[in-house]
Amino acid sequence: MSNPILMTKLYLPASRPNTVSRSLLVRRISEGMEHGGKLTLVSAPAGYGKTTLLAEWLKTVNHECAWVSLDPGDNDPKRFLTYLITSLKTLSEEFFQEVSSLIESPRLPSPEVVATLLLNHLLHSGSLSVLVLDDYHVITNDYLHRTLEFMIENCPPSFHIVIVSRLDPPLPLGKWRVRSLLTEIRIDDLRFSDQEVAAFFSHTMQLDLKTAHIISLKTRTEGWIAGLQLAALSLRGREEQGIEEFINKFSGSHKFVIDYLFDEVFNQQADEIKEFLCNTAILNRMCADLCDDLSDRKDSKKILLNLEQRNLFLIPLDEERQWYRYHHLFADFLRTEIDEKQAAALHQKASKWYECNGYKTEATEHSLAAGDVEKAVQLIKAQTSQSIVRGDLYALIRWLDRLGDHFVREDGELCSTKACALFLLARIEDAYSYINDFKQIKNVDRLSQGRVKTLEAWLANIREDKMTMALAGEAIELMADQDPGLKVFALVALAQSLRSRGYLDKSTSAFREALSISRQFNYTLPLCTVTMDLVYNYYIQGDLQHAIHLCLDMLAGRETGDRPLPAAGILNIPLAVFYLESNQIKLAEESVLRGIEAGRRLAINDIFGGDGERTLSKIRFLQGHREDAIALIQKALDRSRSAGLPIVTLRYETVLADFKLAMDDIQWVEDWMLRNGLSLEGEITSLTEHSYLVCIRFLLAKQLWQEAGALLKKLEDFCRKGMRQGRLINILVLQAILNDLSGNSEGAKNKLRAAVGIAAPQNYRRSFLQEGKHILRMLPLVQDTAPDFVASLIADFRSELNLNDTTHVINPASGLAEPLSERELEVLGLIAAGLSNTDISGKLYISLGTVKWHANHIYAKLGVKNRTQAVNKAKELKII
Amino acid sequence: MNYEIIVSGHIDKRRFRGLAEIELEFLSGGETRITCREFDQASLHALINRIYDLGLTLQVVRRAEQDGYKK
Repeated sequence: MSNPILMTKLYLPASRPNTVSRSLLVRRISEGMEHGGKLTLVSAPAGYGKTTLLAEWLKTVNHECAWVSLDPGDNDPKRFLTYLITSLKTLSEEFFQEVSSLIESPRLPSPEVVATLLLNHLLHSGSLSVLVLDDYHVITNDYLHRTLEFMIENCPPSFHIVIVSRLDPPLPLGKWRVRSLLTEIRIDDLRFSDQEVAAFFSHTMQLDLKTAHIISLKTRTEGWIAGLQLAALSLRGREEQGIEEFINKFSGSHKFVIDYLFDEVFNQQADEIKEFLCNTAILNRMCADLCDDLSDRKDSKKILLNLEQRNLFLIPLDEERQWYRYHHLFADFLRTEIDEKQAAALHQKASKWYECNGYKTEATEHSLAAGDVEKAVQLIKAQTSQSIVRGDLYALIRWLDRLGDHFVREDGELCSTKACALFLLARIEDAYSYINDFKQIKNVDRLSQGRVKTLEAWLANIREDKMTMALAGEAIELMADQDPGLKVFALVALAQSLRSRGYLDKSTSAFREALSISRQFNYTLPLCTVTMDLVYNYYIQGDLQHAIHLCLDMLAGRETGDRPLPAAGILNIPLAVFYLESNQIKLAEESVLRGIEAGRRLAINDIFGGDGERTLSKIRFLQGHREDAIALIQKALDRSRSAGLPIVTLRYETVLADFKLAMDDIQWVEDWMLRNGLSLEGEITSLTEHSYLVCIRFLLAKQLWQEAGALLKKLEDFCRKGMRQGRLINILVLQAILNDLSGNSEGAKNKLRAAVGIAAPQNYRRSFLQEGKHILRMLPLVQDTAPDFVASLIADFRSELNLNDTTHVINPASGLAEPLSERELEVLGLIAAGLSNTDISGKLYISLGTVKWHANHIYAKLGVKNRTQAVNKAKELKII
Repeated sequence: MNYEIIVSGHIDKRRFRGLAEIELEFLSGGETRITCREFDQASLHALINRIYDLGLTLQVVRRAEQDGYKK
């Protein structure tokens, strides 16, 4: 938050002496809670003593309590949650750190995620506790209603929520009523009874009245407490006869109770008090210094204390009597005593005071209320950078809306601000509309131009557009150092597109710059996300160990002072990728689960292209849970396809293609390559590199040596040009296989030797393991390059292959060194049945080439040369 | 659209400051008739919210005949 938290919103209402005890209602709330109720709803119009009732209840029950007094600004989910979390901090100390990561996320996670996290903490806090949300009727944002609904539905037994509202909230009250989860206190419950009215006059207001008078006042006010209080105030100081007169006149009048009483009370006040009340009526909260400014006095402190003592609807907001507010009803009436011109002047003064005292939000609100567009614009512009970085976007958009859309679209700075805010809330279409309007505006400042260029660069980067680099470069130059927050965005777009085009060194230095700005300005979320990008660069570069250590440092908080950042959990995702590469499957699994959860909380898994889900499915596949792995990818694919993310889709499909290849579904892979235009002529980028590695495995399987060689050469050039040493290992390993298969055993050895040379010091292992037995056979030949590494790699191979064998369907009696796969058994069965290759291809819906390829594998495994021998051998081994 | 609203109590016009223009008429039974001319739904709801916030009891809300319709 760019503004200090107003602690006064979180104070329990100060208790006032001599209030009428409402023990019946207090007992009803307590009983509801004891009988398993989750929610107490106190719903009645202003002036029925809702807040006072709750204050009394909390004093008698002695529970730990969090209290939030809401105002319309709390419809911003970030602001609402900030206050909610701050209030709940009184329950649990560690709470704040973890949940605040939610608030720093550019996009809010689903209400269920937020609610679950809050509930988990409440569950751990142990003791019985209560959350009171006062003035809930000001909340109109459905996101918050849904968060609360989920919290109430899943509330632990030790927790209770109280909603105080003038209106029934849009929650499933009927359902909860039937399930006895709800205690309701409504207008008829809150009206003062005869006894309560009597107690109120004698005890609270120290007035000695006749019973008949009391009854007549009660009838006239219908037990409405605010009315009774006003009546008591006008009765004070009257003689017996005056009381008689007042009550008769009041009872006989048709005038609306509060109109009548308010005029009576207001007109009784000394002129200076009247003036003070009018001058301060526009304030939602007030302290003596602020009142001094608005009323041109120096003794506001004294007046405030005096008003409070006289029960003049002034409510203290803290125990120190620093901040107060008027009762809503009273403030509404006071405000009608001043005209619009006066009100504007007062708002202007209030804005100035708030600005001088560092409350920028309030200053802006008051300047908008004053209609002081110039000042409001100045204040909004001064807060833009901070608001964007902190993700304080709802308030920003609300202010801009109040200025009028037309006005915003014609002001370069405001128009660019609106585009940024919408963009960061993922309202891309809306953002485009402001970007387009921005381009029509003449004479815009460089900073605004830079901001819009940053958005354009980011959007181009999402599409993997070649324009990204140019746009980001321009953006950085235009903004200079005036908006470090957006500069980080521009640098990240630049760095990612540099990486994609193979300029790894330049990419790394751009990431480093983004990181150092984030560190300097303490942008905690970018610190984590940029580090995530950077460690992938190290990994590609061949610096696996450095990448692992940086992740571990961030997770332990060593990089950022003494404690980890709230969002650091996402670094578990790259860490899992690296553990998997080092063949530490168990560690990889633990990390990836933690990372996916952290990303889910921050609602950024999609933005990062599903690295977590991909890694998890690879792990599941390795563990032999092939169906789970495929289901996982399939689900992720459905999501990314329906979200229209072609790049993420290709990444998921690449993993799926690898699985299909391992399961001999050659046809699927061939179709996939065709569909995505993955051919020798295609362009190699950081993104397509992975897909092309799968293509090479496919070409090798089809024994298309020449094509595989040509493609490998292209990939090798891309890697060497971009210093991608880590990726080069994959290429060299595949080249070794190709050489071996095509009879060049010396070449194979050299390639494998080179791969081992790069891999051994950094412990890259999966790059070898994933290519299977071919490599295992060759490894002993290059053991001299790195004896320990190669020995342990061979050990890894052995244990992995044993594990995998159990997942194949084999006949244990067959005595084959290498068992036939399911598909091969199927093909063999059809061969034995006398079908031709063409018939088989028709029957299994695979190409003729694929049938031949399967047949060749079968012959090799059975050690035979043709169909007849294969059928005989298979019968001999009792495979068919 | 024209609307007619009746609330209990005779209410001062000041209480509706800042809203769209209305006419008040005090009825002998102690109610106030509020006439709203050419109100759209937004203005009507703003008025009803204000009535609620003031703690007034709402008795009747109905659509009144359009002036033009009568002629």
